[in-house]
Amino acid sequence: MAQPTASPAPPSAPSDAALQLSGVRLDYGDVRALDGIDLEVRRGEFVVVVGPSGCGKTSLLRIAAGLLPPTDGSVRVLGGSADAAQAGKRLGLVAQTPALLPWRDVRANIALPESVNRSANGPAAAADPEALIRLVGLEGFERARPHELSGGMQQRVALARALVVDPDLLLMDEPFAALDEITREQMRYELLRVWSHAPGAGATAKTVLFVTHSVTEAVALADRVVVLSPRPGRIAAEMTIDLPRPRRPDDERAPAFLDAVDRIRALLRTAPPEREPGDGAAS
Amino acid sequence: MTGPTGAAPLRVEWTRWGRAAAPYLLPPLIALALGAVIWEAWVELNDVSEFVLPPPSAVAQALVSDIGFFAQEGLRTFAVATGGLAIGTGAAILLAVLMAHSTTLERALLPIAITVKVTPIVALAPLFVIWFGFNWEPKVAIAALITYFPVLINGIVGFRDVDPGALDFLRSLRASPREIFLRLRWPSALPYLFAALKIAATLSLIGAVVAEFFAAGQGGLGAVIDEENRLVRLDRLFAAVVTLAVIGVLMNVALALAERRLLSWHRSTWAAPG
Repeated sequence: MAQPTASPAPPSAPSDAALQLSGVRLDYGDVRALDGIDLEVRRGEFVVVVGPSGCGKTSLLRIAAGLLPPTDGSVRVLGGSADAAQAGKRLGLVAQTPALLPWRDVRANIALPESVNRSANGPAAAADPEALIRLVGLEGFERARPHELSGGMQQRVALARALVVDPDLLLMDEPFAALDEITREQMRYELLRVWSHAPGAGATAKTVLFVTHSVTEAVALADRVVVLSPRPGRIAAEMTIDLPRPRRPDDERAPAFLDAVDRIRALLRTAPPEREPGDGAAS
Repeated sequence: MTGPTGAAPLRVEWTRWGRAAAPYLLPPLIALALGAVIWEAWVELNDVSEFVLPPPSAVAQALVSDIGFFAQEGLRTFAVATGGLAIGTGAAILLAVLMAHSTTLERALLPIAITVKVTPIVALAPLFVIWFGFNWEPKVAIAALITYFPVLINGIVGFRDVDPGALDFLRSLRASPREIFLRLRWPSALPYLFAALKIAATLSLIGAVVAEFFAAGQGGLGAVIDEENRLVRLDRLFAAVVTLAVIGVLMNVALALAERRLLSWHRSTWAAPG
């Protein structure tokens, strides 16, 4: 079922890629955070990046979002530059903290993306905010301020806010890391439900790049898991997860699921901080 | 809802208002009354001369017997103070926006702002009268000068202290700097600006009074205090100080009410201490 592969995914036609990172390196001063990252995410694919803390997962995501320029390497987002993807409002960003505007109620927070960079608002591009509020299960809380909501509900608002521009690429940075275990488990399957029902998710589902340090979360969500080594972050291994969809919480007890989790744990343990002779000073 | 007499709802309104206001009004009033009693007793028991320290009863009498005069002079001072507060705050917010966006500008301008701040207002006041004349202009300028600093400092911090996640989100949608300012930086800075305004409001009164010492032609509580001091009419001097205190309290109450309305989302407005 789950096939670990040491080499990157087979190359596909450029038009098929939602995200292409090649030879991406990132230095913070003398510290090398990311090195030799070659990653391709196909349209409609759900890719999860796992790695220990401090391995550069968040930096990788911010590079993909065009928020952080890499020191070296090339980044292509949705067939163009990350800048163009931003300008066209084709990215949906969800971070570890909900990062909502506390003075706005739920409805106004979800309306925020529409109110900026208006020139990119297509005639019928945006999703219906009310439908999104229902989709993430927040009906009845439209007028609530963020501080009146639980952590899980705040992340639902953040998810709806990211989806309202009908993004072609959803970038999620440990969105459930600050939640308690019970809520976290629940949100996993909420996300999968929303992912498969999100506006525009007809024949092809939305493309997602999701970063986490939870292996269980990775296996539950992903089409493909990318394992990052400790700093400097490199792609240590990739593994296709071909567990059937839709997935349910009970699936986490299935032997195939547990087998995949074990294999990724093993890969994480053995992933060495591949040092090259020149890297000695970097750590 | 309206009662048969029509007067009943009004009384209900007043009772409700009183019940809501009591926790805010009673503690300071009791504290003030207690202070007045101790002061009165001290003066009485030690037989302090009225030329050294008048008892509160004498101050109250001086105030009430000439309430129209004190109210009129108080309004003059209030006008100078609010004028200076408006100009000083406006200029400080503008500067803070510029400095929050550019460290170079901050490095260039902050030392100047500090230099102006540490120059004693008493040294500048006579100069201002020479530069701006004897009307309201030098007084408003002095009040503005004394108020801008806390607003500037808090503004710089406030415009910068934004949720980095929210900033990332807005940037990922290519929001313009203007949109980021209006949607994120300005609301984020409001709690800082209100805290500064409360300090600046009291400072603006001090500035107005100092200015009135030097440009006494137009009256105001500063001129009254100066005059009564020379005539050694301490009861009237203290009456002017009490008037000033009332204005200061009212300005702070007004700001606190505005803050509660505008910042209901911010934790500083919910908290009951303890």
